[in-house]
Amino acid sequence: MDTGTSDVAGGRDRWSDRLSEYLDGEMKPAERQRLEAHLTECAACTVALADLREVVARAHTLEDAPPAQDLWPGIEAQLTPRSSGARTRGGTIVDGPAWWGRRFDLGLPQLAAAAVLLVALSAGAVWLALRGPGLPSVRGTVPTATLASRSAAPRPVPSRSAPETASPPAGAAIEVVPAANGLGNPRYDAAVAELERTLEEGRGRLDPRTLQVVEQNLRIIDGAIEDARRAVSADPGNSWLRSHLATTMKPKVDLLRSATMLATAQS
Amino acid sequence: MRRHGVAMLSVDPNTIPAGSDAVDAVLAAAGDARAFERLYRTHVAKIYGLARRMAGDDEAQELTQMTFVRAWQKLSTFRGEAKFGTWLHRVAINVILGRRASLKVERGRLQGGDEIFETLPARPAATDHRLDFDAAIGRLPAGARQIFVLHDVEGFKHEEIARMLDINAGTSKAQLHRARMLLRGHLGR
Repeated sequence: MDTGTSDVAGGRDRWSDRLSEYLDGEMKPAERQRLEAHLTECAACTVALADLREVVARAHTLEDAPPAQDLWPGIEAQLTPRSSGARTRGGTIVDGPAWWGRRFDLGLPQLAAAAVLLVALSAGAVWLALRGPGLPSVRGTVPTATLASRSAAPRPVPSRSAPETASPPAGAAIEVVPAANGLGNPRYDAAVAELERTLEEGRGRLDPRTLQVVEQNLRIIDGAIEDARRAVSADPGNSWLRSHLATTMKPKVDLLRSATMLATAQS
Repeated sequence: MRRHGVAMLSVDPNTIPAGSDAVDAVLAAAGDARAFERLYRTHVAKIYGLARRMAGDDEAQELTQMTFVRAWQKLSTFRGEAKFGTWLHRVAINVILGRRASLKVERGRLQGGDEIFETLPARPAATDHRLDFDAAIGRLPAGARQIFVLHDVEGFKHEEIARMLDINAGTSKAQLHRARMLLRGHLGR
C-alpha cells in the first residue's frame, strides 16, 4: 500500500495537517488539486479525511437537553425591574413604593452623594444616641433589617469559583445584619471583600474622576461604619444602634456594586 | 401601520404570530416576567447545551443563568431584525467568553493547548469507542473545544472566532483541526 511517502517531510505527512482546510473548502485550487492527487495514493490521509467528515457531521446533529435542574427560579430571583420596584404581580414586574424604586434609579454620582448625606446624617444620629439622653437602650430585641428578607425567591446557582459567602451577582440581595458584637457578619464581609477585589481588578477601566469619587466616598462610609461598630460594641443591647449599623453598612455594598458594574460595563 | 406596544420592533407587528419569540421579547422588555419565562423555556436547552460544550458541565448551569439574566438586562437592544434565538446565542457566547476571560484562563489554555492535547489520546482504547461524542467534546482542552464548538456546532467562521477569542485565524484553523483529529477516536464505530 502506498502511504504517500513522497509527500512526507521530516517524517511527517505534510498534507495530514491540512485535511480540515480541504474539508472546509479553504484551500487554494492548485493546492486542492495536489492534495486530491495525494489522496489517491495515501490510505492514511483518505481514512483520516473520512473520519473528519464524520466528526463534522456529528457536530451538526448534536442534540440539546435542558439542565437537570430548573434554573428559572434562580434567574427570576435576579431579574431587576424595568422601571422601579421589585415586585411581580401576575408575572409582570410592577412599580413598588417610591423609596424602593429610587434604589434602582440612582446613578453612581447620585449614589455617592446619597451615601455621603446618609453618613453625615447617621453620624449625627449616633452622636445623639451616645451623648444625648433621649434614646434608651432596648434590650432583648434582635433587629432583622435584612435586604434578603424582602424576597423569598430561590437562590441562584452558586458559583464554583466563589464560595457560598462570596459576593452574590449584581442585583442579588446581601444580608446586612451586624453581629451582636458589631463586627458585621461573614456573608456581608465576604461580599464586600469580593466586590472590593473585583473593583480593584477593574479600576483601570474607570474614569479617574469617577474612581476618585468612589474611593473618597468609600473612605467616608468606612469611617461611619467604624463609628457605628464602636457604638454597638459599647452598647450591644441597643437595637437602634444595631439597626443604624446595618443602615450604614448597606451604602457601601451599593456603592461597590455600582462601581464594579460600571467597571464591568466599560470592559 | 399600528405600532402600539411594539415600538422596539423593526418588522410589521401584524405579521408576528401571537406567542412568538418576538412578541414575548417585546413583552419581556416592558417588564413581563412571564413572557421572559416563556423565552427561557423555549431556549434553555440550546443555551445550556452551548454552555456545557463551551465551558464544561461544572459551569454550564451558572453560565446559563448568567446568560438569561444578561439577556433580560439587554432586551432593549433586541430590535427584532434577527431571530430572538440568534440574538440570545450571541449574548450567551459573550457571557461564556467574558467569564472565561475574567478568570484569566483563556489565553493560558490556548497557549498551553499542545500539552493538554497529550492527555487525550488520538486513538483511545477500544473501550473508549463507546464514549458519548458530546462527552468527548467536553474532554477536549478548553481552547480547542471552544473553537470546535463555535465553528462546527455553531457555524461561526474562523475570522469571527479569531475576533471573539483575540487570536489569529491561523490559530483557529490549527486548533479546529487538532480538535477534529482528537474526536476521530471517539466516533464509536
